[in-house]
Order: sequence, then C-alpha cells, then structure tokens
Amino acid sequence: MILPFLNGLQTFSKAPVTWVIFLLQVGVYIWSVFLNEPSSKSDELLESHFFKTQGALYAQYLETNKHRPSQLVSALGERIAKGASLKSEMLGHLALRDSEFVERAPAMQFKGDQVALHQWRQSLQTWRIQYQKMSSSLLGVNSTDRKPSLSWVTYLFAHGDFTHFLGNMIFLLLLGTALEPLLGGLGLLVGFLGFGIVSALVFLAFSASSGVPLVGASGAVSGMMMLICVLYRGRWPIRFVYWLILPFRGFTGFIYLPAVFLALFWLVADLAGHLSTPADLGGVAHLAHFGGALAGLVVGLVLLALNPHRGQALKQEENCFELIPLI
Amino acid sequence: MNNNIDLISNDLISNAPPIDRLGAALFDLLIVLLPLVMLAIAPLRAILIESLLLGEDLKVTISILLISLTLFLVFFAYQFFCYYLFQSTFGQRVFGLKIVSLTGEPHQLEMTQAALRALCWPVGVILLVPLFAAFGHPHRRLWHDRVSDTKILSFKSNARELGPFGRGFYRGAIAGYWILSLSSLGLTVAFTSSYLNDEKVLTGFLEQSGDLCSEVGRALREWSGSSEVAFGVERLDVALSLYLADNIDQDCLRKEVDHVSQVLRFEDARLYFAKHTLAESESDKKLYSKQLCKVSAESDLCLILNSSALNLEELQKPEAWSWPALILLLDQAKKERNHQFIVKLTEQVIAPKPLGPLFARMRAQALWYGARTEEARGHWISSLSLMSQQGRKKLTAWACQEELDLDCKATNSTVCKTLRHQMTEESRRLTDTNESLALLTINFCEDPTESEWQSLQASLQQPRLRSYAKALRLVMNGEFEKARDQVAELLPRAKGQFRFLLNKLLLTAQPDPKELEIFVSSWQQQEVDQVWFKNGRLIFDHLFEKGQFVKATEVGQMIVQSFVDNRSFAQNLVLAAYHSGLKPLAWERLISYRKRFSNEAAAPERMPAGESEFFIVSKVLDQEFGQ
Repeated sequence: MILPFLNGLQTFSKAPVTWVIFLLQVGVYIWSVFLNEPSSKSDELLESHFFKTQGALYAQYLETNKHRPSQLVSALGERIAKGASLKSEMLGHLALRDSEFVERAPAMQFKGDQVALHQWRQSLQTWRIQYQKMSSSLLGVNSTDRKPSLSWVTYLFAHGDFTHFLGNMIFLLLLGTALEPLLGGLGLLVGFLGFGIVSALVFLAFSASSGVPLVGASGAVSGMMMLICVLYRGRWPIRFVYWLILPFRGFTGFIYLPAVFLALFWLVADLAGHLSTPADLGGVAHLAHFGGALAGLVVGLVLLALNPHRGQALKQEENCFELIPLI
Repeated sequence: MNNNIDLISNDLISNAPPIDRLGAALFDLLIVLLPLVMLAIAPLRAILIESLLLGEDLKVTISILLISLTLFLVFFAYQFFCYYLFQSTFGQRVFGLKIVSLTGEPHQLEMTQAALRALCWPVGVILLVPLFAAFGHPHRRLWHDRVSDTKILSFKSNARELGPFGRGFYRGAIAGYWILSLSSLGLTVAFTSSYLNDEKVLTGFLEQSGDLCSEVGRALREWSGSSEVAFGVERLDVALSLYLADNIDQDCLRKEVDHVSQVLRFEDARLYFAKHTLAESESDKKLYSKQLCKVSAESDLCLILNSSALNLEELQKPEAWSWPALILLLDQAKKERNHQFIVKLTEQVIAPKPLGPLFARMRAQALWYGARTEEARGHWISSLSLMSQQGRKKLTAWACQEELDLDCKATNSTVCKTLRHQMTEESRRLTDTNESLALLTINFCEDPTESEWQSLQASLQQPRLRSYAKALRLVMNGEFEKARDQVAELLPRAKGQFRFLLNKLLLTAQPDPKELEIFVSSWQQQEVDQVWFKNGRLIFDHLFEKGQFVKATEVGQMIVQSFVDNRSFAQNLVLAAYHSGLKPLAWERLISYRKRFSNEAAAPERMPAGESEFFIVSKVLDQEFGQ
C-alpha cells in the first residue's frame, strides 16, 4: 500500500476549511448510520429466494421489453429464460440496478410460481420503502436528477459503507490540508464542490438508466489529486508513505517520488477498474472519478497560467528515492 | 567468485540480506507491478467475468490462459528492463540493493543475463525454492542468481549472519517440501476422481457437507439404477417419495426443494408438486395444484391431485408414473381401504420395477392389506425383519403404529401375536417416546398376558409412559373409572402427540354421556390447532358410533373444514345429520359431498360395504329434496 503523505497531516489552524468539510462528512456519516438501520432488515428481506425469483422474473421482463440495459445482462437473461437458472440469483441482483424494472415490475404479470411471486412483490415493495429512506437514496445523485439539483452536491457527503468513507476521508485530509495553504480556504471549498459537480455530470452523462445512485467524495478527491500533480508540476518529489504488510525494519517508510506518480497510481487503478468491469456490474463509478480528475487538471493548468510560481512556496526535499524507515 | 570477494571487501557493500530482498520483492509486487498488471489484464478480466457469468467454458479457459501469459509478460518485461538498464528494480533501489554480474566488468549485466534472471525469478517464486535457498546458501545466492551468474549486493554495511542451520538442513527442507507438495497433489487428484466417478462417495460427500439429508442420501445409495440422482430431478423424486412415506421430515424435503429449485427451471411439475406438499395454507395448495396442471396437464401428479378415481383401468400408463405419484395413489387407496386397488397397482405397476428396500416394504404392506394370506404375511414380516436388521427403528415403529394399529381389530390373532413378539424384541432397543408409544398401542390391540405387561412396563424409561401403559391396561381390563383417573393425572402436563393419545384413550374408556358432555365442552374451549381438529374427529367418531347423532352433527359441523377431503367423514356427517332429523342440513352436506367426490356417486360398486346405509340415505334425500 502506498499513500501520498506530502507535508503530513496539517492542523486545524493551517487548513480549517478541510477540517470543517471532514467534520461535516463525519457528522453525515454518523447520521446515515442511524438512518440506514432498517437496511439490515431490508438485507434480510432480500435474502433467500428473493433474488432467485427476481432473476427469473427479470429474464421474462427482458424477453418482452425493448429496453435492454447491456449486452451482458441481455445474454444472461436469454440463457436463464431458456432454462439455465444457475445464474438467476446474479441476474436478480442486477435487476435492482434497473430502475425501470424496479418501478414497473410489481404491477406486471409474470409466468411462474404465483405464491413466490406474491412474496416477491411484498418483499420488493418493503425494500423500496426502506430504500427510499436510506441516506444513499436521499443524498445520492440518481439517474433522474438531470436538472440542476441539490443532490449534485449532497452526494459528496454520503458513503456506501465504512471502508468507502474511511478511504475517502484519508485522502481528503492528506490532500486537502496540503492544498489549502496553496489555494486558500475559499479556493479549496470551491474546488471541492466544483470537482464534485463535474463528477456528478459525467456520471449522469454515462449512466442513463442506472438504478444505483452516485455517492461519495471520490470524484472531488480525484480532482484535488490532479490539481496537486499540476501545481507541483512533477519537478519536485513529493512524499509518499508505504506499507509492505510485514513488520520488519524498512517495510514501512517514506519515499519521495515526482508528483506525476500520484496521478499514475490513482488513474492507473481507476482505468484498470473501468476496463475490467463489464457494463452494469461494477460498484465503483470510475467515469465519475475521471470527470473529477479532468476538472482538477483543467483548474490546475488555469491556475498555473495565471501564476506560474504557485506551489513553489512549499520547500521540498530534492533527494529522490531516499528511504526514511519508520521502524 | 573472486569478483564477489573483491566486491564485498568494500566496507560500504555487502551481500544483500534476505529480508531486504524480500522487502524489495514485496515493494515491486504490491506497489509497482500490481497496478500495472491490473491495467494489463483489465480487458481480459472483463471477458473472463462475462464468460463465467454466461457459462462459456471455452472463453473462460482461453481468458485464463491469456491472463496467465500477460502476467508473465508484464513480470518479465518489467524485470528485464530494470535489470538491463538500471541493474535494479524499483523495489531494489528503495531497499538499497543492486545486481552485479560476476562475469564481466564493470559488473554490468549483459542482455542474456538480464533475460535469464527475469525468466527464472517468477519460476523460483512460484516453486518457493528461494525461500529456503536464501538462508541456506553461503553467499545468499538464489536459484535465479546462480543461473544468470549474478549477485545482489547491499550498499549498506552490517550484512546479516548466515542462517542457524547447515546447508544439509536446507536441502532436506527443500526435498521435504517437494515430497509433501507432490504427494498432496496426488492425493487431491485421487480423491477428486473418486468423487467424480463413484456416486456413492459423492452422495456421502454431499451428506457430510449438509447438502443432502441423510435419509435421502441413504435411499440414494440403496436404490439401484439411479445414476444421476444426486444432482438431477430424480433426487426430488426420491425425497418426495420418502416424505410421502413418512420417512423424512418437512425440513429435509424443504432443503431438497431449495437445492433442486436452483438446478431446475423456474416452472417444473415436480417442483410445484413438492411446493404443494409443503404449502401450509389451503389457498397456496390450490394455487400450486393449479400451476402444476398448467405447466404439465398430462403429468401423473396433476391427474392424481385433481382426480379421486382409483380405477386402475382408467389410469393412462400408470407403469410410467413417478414414484411420488404411485405412493400418493397407494396412500389414497390405503385411506379408503381399497385393498383390491392396492393389490392391482402393486402387482401390475410396482412389482415389475426394480425395487429398493422402501418399495419392497410398500409392496409387502400392500399385499398384506390386499389379501390377508399366509404368503402376504410372510412378505410383510420379512420386510419388517429386514428393516429391524438394518436398524431402521423409525420405519419399524411407524409400521407398527400406523398400519398394525389401524387394522388390529381385523387382524388374525396368530399373525398379531407373531408380530407382537417380533416388536417386543425390537422394543428393547427402542427408547424414543413415539416408538415406545407405538409399541404400547400394538400391545393394547393384542391382549398381552400379565407377565408380558410387566416386562413391557419395566422396559419403559419414562415415568409418564409407565403411567400411560398402566392406564391402557386398566382400559383393557374394563376398569374405566380407574383408567380415567390415571389419565386425569397425566393430562395437565401432557402436550402435543402425547396429549392426543391420552384423549384418544379417554374416549376409548367409555365415558358416560355426562362425562362426554364435559369432555366435549372442555375440548371446545381449547385453542384451535391441528390437535384440536384431530381430537374433534375422535369425538365425532365416538359419538357417531354410540348413536348420539345430534351431538355428533354439532361436533362434525365444527370440524368439517379440516376434513372436507375425507370421504368417510363426509358420509358419516350426512348420516348423522339425517338421523338427527336435520334433513336440510343432511341434504346440504350431501350436495357438498357429491361436489367433492363426484366420481364416487357414479360408481357405487367401488364403495365399501359399510357405505350402503349412506347409499340408501342418499336416495331418500334425493327423492325428498332432489325435485
């Protein structure tokens, strides 16, 4: 594991806006934990036969419906309709991502086990009610939010789970506290929200009928990361911290690399994730990340054009590849 | 080697410590290569996921091969260029390591050396040889170091000491590792092939892993000629047959249904039949029955669920019927005491089939029911002996309780005695409550001697069972008052099946009309559940037999919804209402009876002799209300 450490974690007095955003994020996360409490019940609800039944029904739906979410889902549906029911549970999960299906299906007529269908309708209805109360649904960007909406900003404060939240917060603090002295508090706030809005727009442009809302500050963090890469212009090495799992001397430490490596680490992972995930299967909005990163790049170039010396105020060590063992 | 000595004579450099080399390798793998590899294989990974989901095996194989090749190429390319151009990888630079050639000056690696080293490194890592060799070699040169004639030096002092053991120890460890690896590989292959080839082993494996109920697994092993039963729809046939013959419980059948519904299509007649069997509410049952016939109107299961005709000649190709359908048919015939039909079905349909122990027993049972001959008795007794030899106590006890009890009054006493002795032998091994109760019930029918009673009572473990046995004995001796007192002591603590048996005993103990009144009213006040209906049926039968038709009609009306499918009850209710003077009610019940059993009305010759009174009453009612 390797993380950009830059100048370390700055205190509240040096980066107040970053810390305020962070505290706001923590507050929203705690609120969402209480709000999402029914989700455990809805998870229980969706276990067992629900997804298998839903898979079989979704296959019937795809057969009769002109709208096809993706080639893979259509092919899967065709196979299940012909009797290959081993993957019906998987298709049942994918069906929840098709907002049109979730909306229309309860009122539709299907062939098959009418008792199971009745139970499925009840479970789906209960799940929909509970889902609408969850933070991701309340704050996230849905595919229907095409017109300017508050959700374009609020989604930055909602997270899918704790690991999602933790990852984003680590990067927010490390990058935000490094950027704030360069941009100023207002600049950072505008940047954070602006990169987030661009991410949301990219998501909306490429996710026409996704039933899964966009949540998380990753898009804005991508923008901040790309902005740092441009401001440091690759000329000065920046500090990274690495961890090689085993508890030996030298297996954890700092390393100094050109800032461009930051972009490479981040974008390569995103690009790999985007290319390796078949359409409709992924849980990460890689394209939204790219949107944020692009916005960061443009803003960085504009700032450099306005003031070529920006970023040089912070003194950096020049001895690249130096190793400072922590243990 | 001289070069090496020259090199390490310098204070600043030393042999690279293994721990640093491990760190460098981890750095390369986790930080540099991981993202590169993920990017390189990304399109292939997408294809692999799609192929796995769509079950395209060829594409899966090709994708895995291409991913492996890409992995190797990325590893090779990264290391080759780093070795050749910089004499170290990224990780090695972080850890202050450098690769030097031992053959040329100034220790720069030649292209072949770099290629050879890059080629051997992943192979060495996969085979785990370097892990041992790193500590064992005097100069810590690993396999890929030696093949490429290179050495890694650390640009730091304080090189670490050699490992604590001699070279022989490490060679032994490597040899041991290989022996273990190869033998475990061989064993895995052997076990896997045995699972795939031997269905019995596979069945056992499924049982152990909890994917198969043990009773179903046992039947699968015992039944010959069932080649794909562990996976296919036949497995559901077996489970259904066992369930219908009371050999497995609902949970076991439900587990099988869950398993098979993952393999079968969404709509399947047998699956619907199983769901119909498991459904709790009548509305669900009706729905499943309807759907079953919608999916397969011609199926045996649809016919049997929607027709009460038991004329073998009317059935189309019963020899092709599934086992669950045959069992259901036999069950229905058994309930209606149509022994002739059972014998016909057994001889013409079941007997020619290759039978497992379960159906051998069913055949013996059917023969015994059909014709009380010595030959049939012999078959039945040998079937029971076979079950007891196999230790199938549950089956044996079930046979005693359900079958012998049912017919004990009509049974020839010699036959009963033989069976009773056999059961008494069996009883010494029985400890379960229900089985002991079954045994007691049998003995109740058989009029045992006093010494046999005492022996039986002594064999009972639980005090409540001993009390129950005592009450039974009192009833048999005609001491009804004492018997009722005995039961009254037990009743407050009794629950479920035991309470039901006690109530049954109370009714048998000839209560006077006043006591019966009290009993009926106390029964009415109880919570309505399955036992409530069962007890109600007992009371109805008792009142009907005693000629108390008014009361019988009243009780019958209360429980009619639960016995709507039972022909004898429906007939007796008509008779009870008629004899009570409630003719409109009798007519109403007759209409609903005919609606439910329309075929029987057209075929009176198949009715048992005891129904003749009903036949006459029906005609009278027809004349009076039919207009």
